[in-house]
Amino acid sequence: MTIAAFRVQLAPSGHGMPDDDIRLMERIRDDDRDAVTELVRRYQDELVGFFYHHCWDQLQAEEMTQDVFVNVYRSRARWQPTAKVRTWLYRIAHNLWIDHIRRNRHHNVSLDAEVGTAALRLVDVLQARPEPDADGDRDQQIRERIQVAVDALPDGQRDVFMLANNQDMKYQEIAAVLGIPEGTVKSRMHSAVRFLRDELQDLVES
Amino acid sequence: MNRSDDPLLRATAGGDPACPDGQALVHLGRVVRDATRPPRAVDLVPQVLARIGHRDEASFDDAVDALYDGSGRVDHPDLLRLGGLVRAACDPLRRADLGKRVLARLDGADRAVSRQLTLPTVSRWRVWSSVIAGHVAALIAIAVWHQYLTAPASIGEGADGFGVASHESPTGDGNPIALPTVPGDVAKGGAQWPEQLPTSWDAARMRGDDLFRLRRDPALRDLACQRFGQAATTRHAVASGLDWLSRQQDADGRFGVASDPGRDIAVQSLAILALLGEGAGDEARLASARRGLDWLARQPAARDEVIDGLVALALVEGALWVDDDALRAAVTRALASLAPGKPGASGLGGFTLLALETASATGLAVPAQLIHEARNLVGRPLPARDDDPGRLGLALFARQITGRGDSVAAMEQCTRLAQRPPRQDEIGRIDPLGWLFATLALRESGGDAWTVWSHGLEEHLLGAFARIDDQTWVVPAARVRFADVLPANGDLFATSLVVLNLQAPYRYLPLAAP
Repeated sequence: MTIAAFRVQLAPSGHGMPDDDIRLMERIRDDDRDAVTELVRRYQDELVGFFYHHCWDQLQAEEMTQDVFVNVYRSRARWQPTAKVRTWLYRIAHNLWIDHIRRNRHHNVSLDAEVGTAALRLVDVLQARPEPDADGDRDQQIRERIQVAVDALPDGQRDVFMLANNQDMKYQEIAAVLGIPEGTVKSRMHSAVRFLRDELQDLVES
Repeated sequence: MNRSDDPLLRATAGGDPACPDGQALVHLGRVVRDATRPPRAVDLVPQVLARIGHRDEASFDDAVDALYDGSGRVDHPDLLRLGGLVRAACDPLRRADLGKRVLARLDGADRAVSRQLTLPTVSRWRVWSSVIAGHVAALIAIAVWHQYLTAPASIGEGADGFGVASHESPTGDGNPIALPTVPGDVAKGGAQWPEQLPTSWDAARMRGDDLFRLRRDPALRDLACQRFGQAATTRHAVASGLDWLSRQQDADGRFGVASDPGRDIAVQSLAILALLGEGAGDEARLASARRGLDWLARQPAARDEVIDGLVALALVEGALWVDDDALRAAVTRALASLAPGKPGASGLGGFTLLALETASATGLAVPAQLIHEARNLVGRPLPARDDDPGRLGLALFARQITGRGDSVAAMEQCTRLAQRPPRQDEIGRIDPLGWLFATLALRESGGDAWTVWSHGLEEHLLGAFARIDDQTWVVPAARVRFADVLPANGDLFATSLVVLNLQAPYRYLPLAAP
């Protein structure tokens, strides 16, 4: 199995300096549309990434990222420079996602419920599919497999891990975004990394 | 011998002033120790514990904390690799520039507020008039059924003048269900509305029904428009939109201009589906679809489950119109490369299901395992309640074509869709991609739900057309959700999807009402 096409990123993309962010938010509070554009450009990539790992749907991730900035703009008059802007953006993003899943909470009704067919998971299909011969297919398989493993994490653990690993946040900032104690962040992080290490053992050790 | 008894050892260990060469010996000892020491200190505990099957989780957790909450430097290759792999796999596939879109939404939100202040009375009147019309239609239908149930049990004309095809009750998949036919259902040229309809697409295959029957006969297509309440203006919009689509094709068969390969073949597939959706009656249009199919069949797979599903659907429909070995081979390849995924937003993922079900229902060779996977992966996690009309629509349509349209969940989905008929978003965009499966599903449901839905659908879709001249209607990308993010061919994407929605009345042979 090859992972040649994977760009292993040891350092996630950077973000604006806190002082810059505060000045930017002050301009937005004064209804400066150029500042909105600047804030969007500064944080759009990482926020799209944040939503993307929740829904695996780029278009939906982009729509929800727009929602974050629209919410920021609408609540600009109430903004106070008491927390990092980045943390505040993620907190809005997290709350938007929670609202979204509450709104769309549904009980899955099986199409084959009448005959009681066991559900197939994506991972089952990946394992059952014949070995492809193209590198691209293998890379896509690896990508899907990693996504399935991330999906299998409990919600709390997944949020913590992805914020730490993909968004480059420290535990204290994650705790502020998710509204949980730092100790909980730490224990969830340990559990998440252990789980992923075990699920993806062959990829990690190859 | 004790070290303290021997002057030489004392000297090499710490230097013995009693020994004349003590300092030299001390130096010699240090040099030898340094030269023979391993190059670096090691801690073999983790390796030894790992080899005996024991994991030092405490040390691992420390490494995790050091990496993610400390300096970020940690000598743990597996942990670094794990983090890198997850980052690479979970990155979005492309970078977005949302600046203009956010500003447009901020401007549009202001406009939406003013619209809400001026239009609610009109909107409420439209909805209520649709509901009242639906109830009147339902009362007429009940009267018709009453007449039907009391009529003689034979094929022929009853005393009330309504034709009655059969009184046999359905006994399972594949058996016909009788529907009353009314005199108005005979089109020009004698074309008659199909009397006995299948209960599912599998049943259609078993009975030898043609799923595309309404498209193959222009008179039946007109009859379908009449039955499902489509106005003459809508027919004109569809024809004008298709004319515009045909004019966007180059000599090689490609629609639009070259941009991103994956998106190009998605747009190409949508244009072909729109042209084929209109069916017989215009040879130039079908020839355009044929050239488009030839171009599409030469393209490599996109390796994207949504785009590959869309391509497969276009090729499958093409193979059912065009008798061509190369096209059939392309269909086989396209179907074999499908990987059914999740339903996704806007019902994305449903194209794969539709490609496989269409191929299966029309007798094309489909791997049984693929159909099984599609029904379980695409059709299985079907929401009974969801705010996304695309997901709800796909859920309902999947149930209907597999013969489960009468389930409680399906009825609930139908009701929820009808409660939220198509409407523009806050910046005036329509969502024909999100509405497509819902439109197909509610056409099957019929009744009040279809009346309310189709009223809103036509109003918004027709309102999105820009009329270049009387015969050239096009839907600008800026008016359509998702089309505005395409770097090129957004108008093609938008116009094709709008046409696909408007073709719902005659796209597929209807199923018997549950």
